Amino acid sequence: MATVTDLVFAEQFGHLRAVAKQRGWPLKQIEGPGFELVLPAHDGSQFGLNVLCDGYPGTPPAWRWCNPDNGVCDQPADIPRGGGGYFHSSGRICAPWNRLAYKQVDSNGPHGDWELSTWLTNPKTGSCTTLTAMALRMAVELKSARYQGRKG
Amino acid sequence: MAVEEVTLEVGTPKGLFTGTFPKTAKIEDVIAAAVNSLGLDRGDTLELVHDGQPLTPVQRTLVSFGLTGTVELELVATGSGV
Repeated sequence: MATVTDLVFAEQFGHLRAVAKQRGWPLKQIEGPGFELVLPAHDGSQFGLNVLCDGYPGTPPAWRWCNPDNGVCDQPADIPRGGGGYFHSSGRICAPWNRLAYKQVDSNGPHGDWELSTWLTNPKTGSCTTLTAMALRMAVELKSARYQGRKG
Repeated sequence: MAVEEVTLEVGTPKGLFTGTFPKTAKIEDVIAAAVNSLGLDRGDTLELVHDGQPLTPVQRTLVSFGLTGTVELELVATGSGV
């Protein structure tokens, strides 16, 4: 029987697939459920993301920067840096909609003061509550002047 | 397409929205059209972006931002990195 996660993921991944196809963003569904996505930055470089959505939307997805060619994650050379708050020096996307921003989940998570179960009502989440909304936010950050290259 | 019109391909939190608008349409009109078409959350929680640049203030027209022909935009949910 399909779970809530299965149903919500299926609907929202469909939305993301439509946008990714139109933009030419490489997107692949993986087990979890989850997906791998590649986004372009304004300097012409590309960044890969591995996104696990187990437990979604009860808990936020886990967004992780990964090398789009070999799939290795969390390497400084594959992590963007810059202003605006999202590109945190810890290497984690710093937003309540990223599970890895929570210190109780990930030791590199910048926030020990957030509750995972209330991510949807965290004021910093705003209306960024769908997979496509989150992906678009990262796409915009990488295209903006706030993006300043690679971490390492 | 008439030169007086702009075709917008907008990535939104609920997928793609495509529409053709007069070049004098305001940004807020485009947001409202996408919100109504896709059943998105209130428009005041969304921001229209072109090439990483927010199209604000929303009372300005498409042509005032130099948007002509067919243009890709993002309708980005508010919220902040911290």
